[in-house]
Amino acid sequence: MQRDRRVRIYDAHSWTGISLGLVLFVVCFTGSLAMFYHEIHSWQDPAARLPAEVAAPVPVDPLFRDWKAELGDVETTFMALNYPSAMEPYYHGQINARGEDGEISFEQRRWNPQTGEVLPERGEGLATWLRDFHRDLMWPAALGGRQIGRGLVGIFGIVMMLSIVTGIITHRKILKEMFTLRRTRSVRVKWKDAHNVLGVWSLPFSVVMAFTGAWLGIVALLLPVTGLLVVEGDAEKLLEVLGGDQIVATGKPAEMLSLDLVAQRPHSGSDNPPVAVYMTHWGDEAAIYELQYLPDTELLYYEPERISGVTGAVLPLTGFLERTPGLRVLGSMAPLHYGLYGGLALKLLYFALGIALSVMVALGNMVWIERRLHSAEGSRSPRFYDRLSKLTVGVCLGVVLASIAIFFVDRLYTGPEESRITTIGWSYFLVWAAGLIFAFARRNNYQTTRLLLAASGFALMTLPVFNALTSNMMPWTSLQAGHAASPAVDLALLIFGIGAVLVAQRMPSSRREREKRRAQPEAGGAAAPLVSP
Amino acid sequence: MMWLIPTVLIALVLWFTWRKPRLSGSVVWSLVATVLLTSALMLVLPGPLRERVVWVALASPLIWVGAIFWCHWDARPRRPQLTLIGVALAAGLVVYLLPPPG
Repeated sequence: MQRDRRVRIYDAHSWTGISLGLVLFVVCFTGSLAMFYHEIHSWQDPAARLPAEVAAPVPVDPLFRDWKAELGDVETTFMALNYPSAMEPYYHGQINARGEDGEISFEQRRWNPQTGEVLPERGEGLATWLRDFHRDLMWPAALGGRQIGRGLVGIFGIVMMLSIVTGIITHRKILKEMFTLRRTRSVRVKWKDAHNVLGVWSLPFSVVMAFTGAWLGIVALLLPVTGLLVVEGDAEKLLEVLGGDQIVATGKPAEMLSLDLVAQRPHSGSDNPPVAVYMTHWGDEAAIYELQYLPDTELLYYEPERISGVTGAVLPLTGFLERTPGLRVLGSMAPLHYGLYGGLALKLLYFALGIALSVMVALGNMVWIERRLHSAEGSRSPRFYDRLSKLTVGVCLGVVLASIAIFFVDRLYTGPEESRITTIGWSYFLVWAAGLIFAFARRNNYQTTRLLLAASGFALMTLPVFNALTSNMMPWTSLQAGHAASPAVDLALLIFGIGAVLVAQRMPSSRREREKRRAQPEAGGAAAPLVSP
Repeated sequence: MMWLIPTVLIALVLWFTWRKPRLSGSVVWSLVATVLLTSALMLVLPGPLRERVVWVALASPLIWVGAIFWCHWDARPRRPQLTLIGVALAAGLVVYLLPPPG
C-alpha cells in the first residue's frame, strides 16, 4: 500500500480514537454492565427476591382484572402481563392508559405468585440507569429526548466500525500482534501490545457489537428521516405502512380468555411456556393476545405466537411478526448485541469481551498521548497532552467509580419513587465529575489511576456486605430461598473488587526515569514528564 | 430571523466543503448521501416494501462507513467528496420524483 495512504488511514484511526474514544469507552463499559440488567434489577430490589419456582401459584387473572377495574374506564394503548421467571419471580402487569386530558400514563403492578399480595412499588433505578445510559445516554428531553441520544450512540457505533476497519488496515502484522506482549519493555510498548492483543482477539466480537450497535442506534435517526422522504410522513407513518393490515376493534364486547389458561399454552415449536402476554383490544370481540416465548428455535429476542383473546384460536403472524428473511435478520440484532442466545456463560463471555474492548479503547488513547508526550511526535505543547492524559484517566475511571456509587445510592434512597432515577442520575454525574476533578487536581497520572482503581476495587468489595446489611438477607438465605441472581451479583462484585485492587497494586506509581521525555525543541522546548511540575 | 440559521448552516457547510474536502466528505456528505441513497433505494428496488426497507436499513451502516472510509482511502481528496455530493443529488432527485408507496 502507498505510504501516504497508510498514513491517512492511520490518521483516521487515531483521530476517531482520540476524538470519540472516551465516549466509546463509556458506551462499551456501560454496555458491559447493561447486559446484566435483570440480575442487577434483582439485586437492587430485596422485596422482589422471591422463590424462583412456586408449586401452586395463585391465579393472576382476577388480580389483573381487578387492577384494570381500579384504573377506571380509561382507554388503554398497551397492556401486558409478565409471568414469573427465574430473574423476575413475580407477576408483572403493565398498562399504558390515556386519561381524559389525552395524556398517556404508564401504570405497573407486581404480585407475589405465592400469596397474590401486591409487591411494594419501586421506581426505575440502578438497573434502568445502567441500561438506558448505554442505550441513549439518558439524553434529556430539553435537548431532543432519548431518540436523539439513541441516534448519537448509533453514530458512535459507526465510529467504532470505522475504527475497526482502519485498525485492521493499519496493523499489517496482525497475526504476529496476536501473540506479542512485551512485558519487560516500556510502559508505552506494553500498552501498545495490550491494545493490539485485545483488539485482535476481540475482533469478531467488536465487529458484531459495532454493527448491531450502530444499527440499533441509527435506526432511531434514520426512521424519521426515511419516513419523511419515502412515505412523506414521519416514523409512525412509515411503521404504519410497513406494519401491514392491522386488526381493528369491532366494538362488540366479549369475555376475555383467562390469563392463567394462556400461561399453560406451550410454544408450538419449542414447548416453552410463555414468559409474557401482550393484549390488544381488551374486552372486544377482535381482541388479540400476543404470547412471547423464550426463543429455542430462532435467534430472536422472543418467539411470538398470536391467538384470539376471546376464543384462543391461533392467528397468523402479520406485519413485523412475519418470519421473512429480512425480518429474521432484523430480529437477530438485539440478541446478538445483548448476548441473549447462549445463557449465562455467553453473557459472561460478552462481559469479558466488552470490558476488554473498553480497556483497548482507553489504552489506544493512552498510547497516542504517550507517544506525543514522550517522543518527537506531536505538534502541541506537552501541557496539552498532559491534560488529555488527565482527561482520559478522569473520564474512564470516573465512570467506573460513578457506576459503582449508584449501587449504594439506589439502596440508600428513601425519597419518592418517581424521583429515584433522577437522584441516581445526579449522583452518577456528581461522582463522575469528582473523579474528573481528582484526575486534574493531581500531578501524577499514574498514581491517580492507581488510587481511582483501588477506590473502585474497595467500593466493589464493600457492596456485598452493604447489600447483606441493608436488605437483612444474607447471600446464603437468598440461595436457600431459591433466588440465585442477587448472590451471584454479590460474588461478581467481590471478585471484580479484589481484581481491581490487585491490578492497582501492580501498576507503576510513576513513569520510570529513563522513559521520561527528552527535550523536544520542536515540540515546545523543555522536557515535560508525565508527573507535571 | 428564521432564515438566518439555515443560511449560516449552508454557508458553513459550503466553506467546510471547499476548505476541508476529506473531512467534510466523511463528516457531512457521507451522511447526506447515505440517507438520500437509502431512501432512493427503498423506492426503486423490486420486491415487497417491507423487505426493501428492512434490507436497505440493514445495509445503511455499511454504506455510511464505506463512504467515510473511501474519503480517507482515495488519494485525491475531491473525488470521493464530489461523488458523494453527486450521489446525494441523484438520489434526492429520485426521492423527489417518485411517488410514495402504499
